[in-house]
Amino acid sequence: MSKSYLDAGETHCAIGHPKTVFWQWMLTVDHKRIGIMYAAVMFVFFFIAVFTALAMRIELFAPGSQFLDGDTFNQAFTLHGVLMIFLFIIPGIPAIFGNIVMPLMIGAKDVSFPRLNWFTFWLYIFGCLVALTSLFNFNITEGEILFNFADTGWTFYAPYSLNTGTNVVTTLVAAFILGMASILTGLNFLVTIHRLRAPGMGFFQMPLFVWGIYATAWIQLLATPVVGITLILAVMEKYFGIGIFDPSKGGDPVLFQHLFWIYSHPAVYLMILPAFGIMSEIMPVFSRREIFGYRTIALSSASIAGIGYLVWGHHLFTSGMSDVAKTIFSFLTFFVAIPTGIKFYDWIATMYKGKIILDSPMLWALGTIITFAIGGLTGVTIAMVGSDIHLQDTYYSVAHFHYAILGGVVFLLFAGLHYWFPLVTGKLYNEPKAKVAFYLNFVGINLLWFPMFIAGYLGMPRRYFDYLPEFEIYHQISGIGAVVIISGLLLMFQNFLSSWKSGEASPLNPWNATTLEWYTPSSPPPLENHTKVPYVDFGPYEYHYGQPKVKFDLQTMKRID
Amino acid sequence: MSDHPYVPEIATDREGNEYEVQGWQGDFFGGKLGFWLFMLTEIMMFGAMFMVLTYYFTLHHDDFINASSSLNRTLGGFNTVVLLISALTMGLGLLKMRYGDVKGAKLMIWATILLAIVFLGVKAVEWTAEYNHGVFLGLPALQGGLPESKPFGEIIFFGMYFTMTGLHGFHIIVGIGLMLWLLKRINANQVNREHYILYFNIVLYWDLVHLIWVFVFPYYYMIGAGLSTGGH
Amino acid sequence: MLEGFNTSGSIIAEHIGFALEMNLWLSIVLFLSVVGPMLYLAWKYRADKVKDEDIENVTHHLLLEITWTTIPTIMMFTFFYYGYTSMVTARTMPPANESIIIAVEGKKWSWNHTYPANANGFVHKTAELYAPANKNVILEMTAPLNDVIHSYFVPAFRMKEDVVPGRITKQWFNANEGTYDIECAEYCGTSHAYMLSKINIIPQADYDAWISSQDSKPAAFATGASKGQELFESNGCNGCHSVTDDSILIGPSLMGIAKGKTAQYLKDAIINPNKDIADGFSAMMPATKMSDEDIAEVYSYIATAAVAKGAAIIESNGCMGCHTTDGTPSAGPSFKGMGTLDAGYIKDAILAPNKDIAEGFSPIMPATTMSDDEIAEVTKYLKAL
Repeated sequence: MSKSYLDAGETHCAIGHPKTVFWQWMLTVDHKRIGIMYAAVMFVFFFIAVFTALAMRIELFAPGSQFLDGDTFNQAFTLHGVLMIFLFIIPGIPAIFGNIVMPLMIGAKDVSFPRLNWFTFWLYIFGCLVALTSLFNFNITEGEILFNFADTGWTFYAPYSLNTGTNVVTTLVAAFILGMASILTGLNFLVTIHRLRAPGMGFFQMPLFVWGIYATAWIQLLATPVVGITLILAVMEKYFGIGIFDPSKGGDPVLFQHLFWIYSHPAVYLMILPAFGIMSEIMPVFSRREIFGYRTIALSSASIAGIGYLVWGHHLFTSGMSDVAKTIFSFLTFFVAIPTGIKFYDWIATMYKGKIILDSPMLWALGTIITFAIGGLTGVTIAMVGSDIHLQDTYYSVAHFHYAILGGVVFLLFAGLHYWFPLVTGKLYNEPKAKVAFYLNFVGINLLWFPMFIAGYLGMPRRYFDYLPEFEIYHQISGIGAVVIISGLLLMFQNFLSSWKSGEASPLNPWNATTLEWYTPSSPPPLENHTKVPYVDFGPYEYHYGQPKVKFDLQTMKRID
Repeated sequence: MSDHPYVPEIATDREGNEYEVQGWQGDFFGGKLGFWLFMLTEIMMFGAMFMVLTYYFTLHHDDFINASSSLNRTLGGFNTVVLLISALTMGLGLLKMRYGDVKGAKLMIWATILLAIVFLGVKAVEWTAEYNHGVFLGLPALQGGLPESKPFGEIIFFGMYFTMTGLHGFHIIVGIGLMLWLLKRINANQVNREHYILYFNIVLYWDLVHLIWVFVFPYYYMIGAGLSTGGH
Repeated sequence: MLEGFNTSGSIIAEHIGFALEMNLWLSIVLFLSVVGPMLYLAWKYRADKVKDEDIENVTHHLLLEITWTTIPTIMMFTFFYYGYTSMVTARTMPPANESIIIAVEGKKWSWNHTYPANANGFVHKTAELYAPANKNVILEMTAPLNDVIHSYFVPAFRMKEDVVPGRITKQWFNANEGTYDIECAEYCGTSHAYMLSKINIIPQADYDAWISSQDSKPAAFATGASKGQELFESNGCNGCHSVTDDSILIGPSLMGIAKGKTAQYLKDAIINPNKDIADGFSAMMPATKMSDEDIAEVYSYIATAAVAKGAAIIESNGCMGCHTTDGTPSAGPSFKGMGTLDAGYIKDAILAPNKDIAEGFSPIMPATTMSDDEIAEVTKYLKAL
């Protein structure tokens, strides 16, 4: 039995050759190990944010104040937003699967700058720590620790963020550091994809997940610096009062919104594009046939990334922007919908005349088609300027966002977790349990957020810790949905953890997949991935009568078909 | 990481043709590409600040001209020349290294460091003078809503001036650190005639640093040049 | 459902309502065009029905691809068009000479409406908005410079626009009679959820009668509240300060402050609020302009607000026939000084008065039925004497 990358000593390290397993993990530069560490940290923060959200749902179960006051509630939704957006979703899929799977998919031994990758991970951890320090005020002389997290919402809108007495500065600095980590990840992946593809693999022989990561990396690289400097300007503003965004000194608070969304709108494509990549991996594998419209899907990722830069203004339809600007931004926004729609039809056409295997990755993917279709189409509603005047800043937007991001990005992240679990751990998870977890999540998301569309349409504004009694029934259905979805999440992660510990060993290619990450000599893969780099003169999803067309001798990586 | 010399792997296609595999080790073009991409992020960052500046310039045109006219153009101009020369010495050093003149290269790096320190010194003189005139971040003149406040356009102008020149100065300091590190690597023969990607990228970095100044200088110092002779 | 939500209360609501409805139906079509085939294919090609030899790698179909590109594209631009036209309706302000222009100030955490001066030069200010039916009303909105962004949202009218410090933003409506909710839709801090108000659309004649008067509210809405109370509420003071009890909302409770502080103190606190902050509170109160007479009214309201209810109860139960408030004994002992008695004693004394008689008085007082709330008000009144 050959050694896998998880075995003790099987790693390259940034500094020296540490003897202990602990330091081998801390100093590892192996892309797979780094990906696993990202996942571990991120899911801890994910669950903190989930339970913060649960607390808010309980508070909102009935009108009036139950156990949170207004200020605590405001800090709770800020914490939920900051953790979910900056610590989990934005870095999420690129940092986890971009790291673990992308180099394997292109036949590389590691990313282009393995030491930088290691540094980036620790920069991310540093950013997380700064974010955590902003939770509290430490009064050393009195020996007190006061909960004093920012209460601005994750958008930090000026002038509110400039006036509030909570720890906004450290939160901004944390977001800046996490942004830098994101930039460096994107840079690393761009160079990796450009330079380290196996010989023969052109851009149009790359698996579509790599396309997703590639498009994402450009967004990380070009959009993140803008928000970085915006956050720094806000810090300067807070310390020195130069008034860039402060109307009481003559500045323009709406300018902050522009700068913020110039980044943060592309950021939602940064979240969804790698998720679409996962979808494009799963659909052909579980339909046992070649994907429909490979080039269209690849190029639509690129065009979404491009158009995504030009639409930020649709967040400002009621901010007092000129009507001409609103019209232009609305018009451009519809151009994002078109390539997204085309992708969906391509995925569905992939099922035509295939053989649909309803294993849990496929269930998650098909479930996502439903939830993301709802999330996407309701996004179209608020891209219409007139409708958005009514729906902006209501629960409708909240529901749209969660359907698109939870029901799109996170569901596909979960699909990827199931799909690549055997590759990463070398174990099989418990399939019936995984299916139950999926159905709980799927029912939960709809119970939790569908009522919000109605409540929002009827005039329930977001970020309210108390509400008019007319809206009670919607909040109560949501509250029940929250319990359902959380039980689904817990079951899913319990399944992963127990299966990793004591699951059945996985065969080398359990899903009959065609992409290179499954053609490693052992499961999980060895330290430097494939035994030899293959020559790629085939497409990524070549099936023949439901079986992968390309076969390798895994020791020499020579084709034997 | 492996301490053995890197030997590129060979991939073989079905006809038996051999192809050299590009590894992450010793990837000169990869290193170059990565650094160019990093430079792009710097441009986006300073670009966003120039956008903010332009926005407020159109809103508070006269304030900006007034504030700009009080900057010291002689010192600013001197610094521009210093940085331009330092870019030249930096570039010459790389050429010398590629021709194998290690000693000449090191001399050029030292010259660049010296010029960078001169730049920082002049900058310090300027900032001190401005501080003594009560114009500095956090002083009352640059806080809105006080009796001694300057007009808002001037506050923004100086606020952005200190932010951007400060950030630029930070880049200079980082550059000096990088050059010292580079000298160490050259002495250890880890940067030499064959392996000079680190040198190349630091030269690139230095080029960007002076390029940003080339935009900062006219935007802050020159827009008010027509109004008065300037200088504190 | 919020009051008036379904009545097409305004012209804007009709247009935006149409855009939303059209969007809903086309979205359902698009949704089914994705999910329908997906479910069908997942069922048709389920694993146990497909033999491996029957799998086909269909990777292109030009006609289909053109269809599913062009039809959604056409739909998207239909959406854009109706989004655009409904925006034009909502955002094109009617001519000023055919409209009433009302100034709106949004501040933490209340809405104030200022009306055009009437023939006598009197300017009405209200917390709730009163406007005539079927008449164009333009809102010119802003927030104090040191405040934050709010958003004036009227769900029934499908209208919303941010209220930005240092800027004037506008929106307009032309509505039917009724009462409609106003909510703040842009997050603004602690009491964001309570930054609510109402729009009351009333007949033109009622509106005209009111605007030419100096009444604080139109006749149909008059509550009989004192001028001081009206001012206290229309300026949004009640958003942060309680007066009838000692609960702390955002700022300190004002109950009982009239005992120790003068009207001059109140004036300073209103005009320059952040000069002198009560312990444990932060400097966040916006300055308010108010005439000396108005401040005197507010002062007397604050002085009496907490006890007004109790006084009225005592009055209506005829207690004053036997008790005084100035310390002189009458048929019964004076109320003055009873504030030191504990609440349970007072309750007993009202419900079963002759159980325990004060020394020197005879058991002649009749038992009175009073709810616990009423007793609490009376107790508060007694304590304040």
